[in-house]
Amino acid sequence: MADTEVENTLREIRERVLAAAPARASEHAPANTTARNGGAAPSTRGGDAGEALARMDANLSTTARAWSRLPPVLTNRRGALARVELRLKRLIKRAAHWFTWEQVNFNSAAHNALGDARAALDAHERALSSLREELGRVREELTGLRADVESGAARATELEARVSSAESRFDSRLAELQGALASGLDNLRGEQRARTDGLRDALRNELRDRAEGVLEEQRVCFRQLSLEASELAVKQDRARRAVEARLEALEQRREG
Amino acid sequence: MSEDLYKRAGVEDLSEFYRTKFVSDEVLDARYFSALDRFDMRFARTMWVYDNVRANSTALDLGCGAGMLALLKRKGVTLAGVDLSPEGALASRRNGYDFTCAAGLTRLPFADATFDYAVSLDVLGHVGFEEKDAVLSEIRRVLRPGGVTLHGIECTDRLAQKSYEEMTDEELRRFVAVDGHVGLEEEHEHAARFRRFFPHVAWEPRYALCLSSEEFIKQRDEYGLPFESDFVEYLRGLSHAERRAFDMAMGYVFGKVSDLNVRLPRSGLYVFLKASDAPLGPFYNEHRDRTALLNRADSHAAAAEGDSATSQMEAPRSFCLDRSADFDDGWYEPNVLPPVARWMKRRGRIRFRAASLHSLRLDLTTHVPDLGPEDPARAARPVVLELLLNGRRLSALSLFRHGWLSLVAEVPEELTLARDFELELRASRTWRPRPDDARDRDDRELSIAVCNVEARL
Repeated sequence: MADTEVENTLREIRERVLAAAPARASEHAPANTTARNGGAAPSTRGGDAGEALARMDANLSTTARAWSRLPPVLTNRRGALARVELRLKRLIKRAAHWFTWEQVNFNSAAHNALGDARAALDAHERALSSLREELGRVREELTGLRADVESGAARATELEARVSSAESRFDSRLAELQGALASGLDNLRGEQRARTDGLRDALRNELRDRAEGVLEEQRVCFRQLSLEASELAVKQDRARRAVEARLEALEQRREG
Repeated sequence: MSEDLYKRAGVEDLSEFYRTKFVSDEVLDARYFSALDRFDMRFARTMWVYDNVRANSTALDLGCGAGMLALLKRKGVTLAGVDLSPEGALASRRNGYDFTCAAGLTRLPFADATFDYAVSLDVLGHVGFEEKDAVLSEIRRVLRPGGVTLHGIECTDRLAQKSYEEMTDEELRRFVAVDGHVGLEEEHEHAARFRRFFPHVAWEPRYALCLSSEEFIKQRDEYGLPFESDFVEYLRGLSHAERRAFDMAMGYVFGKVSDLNVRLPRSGLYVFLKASDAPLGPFYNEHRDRTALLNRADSHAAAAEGDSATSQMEAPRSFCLDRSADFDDGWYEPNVLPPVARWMKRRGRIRFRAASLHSLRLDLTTHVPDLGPEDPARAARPVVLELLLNGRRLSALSLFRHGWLSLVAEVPEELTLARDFELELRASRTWRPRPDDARDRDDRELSIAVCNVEARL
């Protein structure tokens, strides 16, 4: 039983030493070590809080060691002296029990209060850490956006320059085309006029030829009608003569 | 029903349909009729009517079209015509009909008892079944008592051909598109129908034996009649002159069948039918008198020969040969160009008589392509023309253009009193208008067209 308590005591001492070592290392660490935590600036309060929490942990380990009992009765002597010493200590322990026990109760309450405070602080620390990370992200985004805005502004400037250059080229090309169009229109008008004149001449010739053809045809048709009329006149004359001859014959027959 | 059939066949405008089918620029005027054409198969139906109509009578041509009965004017017949198409009525009028009008056959615009004859050729097959009785009733109304109605009627053979009800719309469309037949009946059905209106009816199936070359091809191609294919192909390859020779031979046989009164077996193709309220005379040649048909000499020739002894008017100083002289086979039948003119082959002769002759005058034109320098891309190839009178050259000239040309040729003094004359024209080249057109082939060898040939005394 006594060996176990000694072991525990030694472990607590070692843990306290190990817990104190990182705190000292962080105090002497270079700036880029903190930059690894999202590039956030080193927080003095954060560093103090961590150290304080470490010390609290060390104290809690002490209070946890005997918060519900008294220390064991030990001796380094041997033989009868040891037995006397132990008997004496037991008597003293039994006699001082009325106020040592109160001390034990106090220790227990202090230990519990410190544990609760430690848990609350841990929660706060976690919340702060997450807020720090969020802040880092927002900063990063802001940095990205600022870079985008800066590059967009550069692009806009470049585009503006290009548009300006294109405008000047367009103006010169437009002027060139307007000149070409004007001269083309002049040429086209000339060609069109020449073609129209040619077509008009051809049409006039065609109409004249056709009119001549129609007149010729008309002349031949009139000639045909004239000849037919002449035929009819001859036939009519012949019929008239035949009728007259028959009338004459009838007259002669009547007289005879 | 006929209108329904026309609609089913896709024919919307009947008048236009018949104008495009049956009105042409051919000259059917009796004054231009060549006596030799009485043998032409094309005029076989006309000749049947001509030989059955009394001279100086009155006749009504139902569905006169271009005027296939104009020849009746040679017999002094007063000729009237009605046609569904105004253009058809006009064409008949131009071909010498005394009166024509556009009208339907169910309401003829004539008074009762107007005509001695009512004639139709290839018409009743175009009359719908529901209208046939009305048409016959109208025919009876306009005929004088004792008048005769004569018809050439297209028929069908229901054993060989589908009825209209059995045809699909596409079959009907193709069938009607050929000729417009929407009222074909069998031969005996026509006779039975006429008997309901006329007590005396006679009919003869025709065209079982003789068809024109064109009709052989059409009946096989369009109506699917089973003529031997190699024979039809042979006909298809004939030239214009060969087809005319074939048609003349067929027409000759057709006329002889009539003359010999040979009864042919039923063919399901065509019937001649005569009907009257009075007893009928002979079916063929009842009033055969071809004197006027064969005698071309008319008053001009008589006048030209000095038949002016009794004339009280001034004797004509010239006369026209177009309708009185004898044009040999170097000339095609007249066409309306206009005017009415005859196309010549490479050489043509005109024979005529005249008491004296001092000069000849004529109008001529040509449609031979590549004539003159008007087309610089092609070499000028004028038509060289020679005129000879009784073998003696009167004139020679080259035609470099297509217009009408008036030509006057003086007659040498030693020929003026020859009385019998033969004017010969010779052209250096010819052309064929549409030798390869499958639908409207015209492979005639044409050189010049001539009209107004005038003999000046």
